[in-house]
Amino acid sequence: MGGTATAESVIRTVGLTKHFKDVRAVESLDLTVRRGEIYGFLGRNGAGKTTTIRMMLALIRPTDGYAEILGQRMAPNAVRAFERIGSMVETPGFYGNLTVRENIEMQRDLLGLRRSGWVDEVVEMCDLGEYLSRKASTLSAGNKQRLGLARALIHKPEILILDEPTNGLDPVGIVQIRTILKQLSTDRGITIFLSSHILSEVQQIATRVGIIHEGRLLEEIALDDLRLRNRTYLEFAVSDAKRAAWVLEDRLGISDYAVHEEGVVRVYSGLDRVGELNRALVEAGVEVTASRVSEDNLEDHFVKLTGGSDEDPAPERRVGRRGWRR
Amino acid sequence: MTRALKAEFLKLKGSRTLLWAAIVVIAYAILATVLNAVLLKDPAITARITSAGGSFRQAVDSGFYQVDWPNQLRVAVQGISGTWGILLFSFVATYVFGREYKDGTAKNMLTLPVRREYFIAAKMVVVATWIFCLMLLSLGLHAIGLVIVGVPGFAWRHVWGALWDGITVTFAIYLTLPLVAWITMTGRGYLRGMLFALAAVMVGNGLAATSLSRYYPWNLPVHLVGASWMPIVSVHPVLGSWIVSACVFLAGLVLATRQTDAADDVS
Repeated sequence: MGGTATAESVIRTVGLTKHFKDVRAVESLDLTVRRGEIYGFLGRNGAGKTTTIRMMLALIRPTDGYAEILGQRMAPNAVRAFERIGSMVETPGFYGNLTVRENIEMQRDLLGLRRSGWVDEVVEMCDLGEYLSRKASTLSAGNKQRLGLARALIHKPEILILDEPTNGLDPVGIVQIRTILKQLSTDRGITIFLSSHILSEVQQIATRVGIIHEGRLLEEIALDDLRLRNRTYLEFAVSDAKRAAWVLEDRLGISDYAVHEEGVVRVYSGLDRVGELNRALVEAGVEVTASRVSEDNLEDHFVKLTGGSDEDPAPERRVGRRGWRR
Repeated sequence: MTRALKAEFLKLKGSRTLLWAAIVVIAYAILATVLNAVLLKDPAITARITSAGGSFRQAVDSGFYQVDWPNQLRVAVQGISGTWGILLFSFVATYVFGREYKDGTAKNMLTLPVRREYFIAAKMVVVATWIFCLMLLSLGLHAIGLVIVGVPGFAWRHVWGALWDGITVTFAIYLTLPLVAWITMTGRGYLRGMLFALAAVMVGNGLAATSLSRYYPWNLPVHLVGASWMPIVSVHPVLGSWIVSACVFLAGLVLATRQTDAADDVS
């Protein structure tokens, strides 16, 4: 991870660290983002995602280490780099007394862009046409997010850094943002770095992910590699998980399984014995309410690495005879 | 720099704060006009002001409360130096700097390809323009009030004199504003900056009778033209008074610029 800058790495952090008094928000973070990637930066709330992004954009001074974007070390007044970066950090702020158009036009002026056609282009892309003459303060959360994105895109940046871009959006809005980001990546080759805690969302657009937990980068992995690495399993929803475990081990001799607390059993071997497994469970008095063949997704991988999600703390599991584990 | 300046002026478009600041000035001018009308109707009132004693008695003895153009224009300038000027102008500075943090626009502003000190400079230009316009509005409204009430003794030299005093006093207040701006930025909103300005004025009131007062930047306007609560200028500013104020101005600018550079306080 991290390492030397190559021609294709456009974002690089080296030993990036931020301590707020006793709180170690980010610790020796080394990550690399390559040109053209959509990099999903994943972590639970408070994992250090926003702090990392703020350091990347020179909004926060690192305690140690540095961030480099497009070969330039990020510091206040890194004007050359900022010309090529579009960003949206957390909930975007606007001048509420100005209209949507005026907010975008102001951004255009500040970026020194002369062509007003670029404003129309981002307005169309972000679907803001009907709101142009409305005061920014009257926009819904979703439209504010769109306006933030429009502002970040107006100068056709090479790199887009987005912090939780789908925050506050309804499902339709989420799909729209996803479509825009995919389009930007495909059509314009923009490198996108986005942080999120909505894993299913990231899984649909990212090419590579970095997982941060308690300020430390646990892993960087391409989603294609993750798919290859993940195992297929047979999942049963059962009435009595403990008894199901007994059936699997003692009656069928299967030890490669995991029992979830909520009555879900995942069997990782013998996937061709679905009928036999089902029959054995039923005969032993275990009611099977559902069964399906599935595979680990990004969420499972994330949970394994970080030990649980915010909403759903890691369920206790029993794996084979090795006992219960988190 | 031009880009930052243009943006900073655009940010004020349609802002209600512009209106509220103007309302304070208008209200003071209306009050002064009504008072002049009353004083003109009953000159005996001025005599009763002597009962306040101290500098008020001196003021009456010096003809300060005579309703004529030079005195009433002086009262208008004293409104800026000691009644509403320092607090309103400080509020203008807290608004221009604090709204970026309050509205969450600071993080966008600081990630633009514009040097951060340009934003500070542009904001200070906006503050200067705004407060000098308020000063002109105040003097203009007072003058109109004097015409309406029919106050005697008009001469253009009185108007130019008041204008010069107004500019000097506003400039003296302006020198304190970068420090207010910096305090505002550290507080990420309006409150800390306004509390600081209020505290600075109160400390100034405490110092007013001492020899240190002439070196205290927040008292400099009062020592230039007096104030409604101290109509006679008993301590006159010296070169050192202006030097101290200039140092406060520069210190404020440096601190405000460094605040954006550190940027740790971006909310």
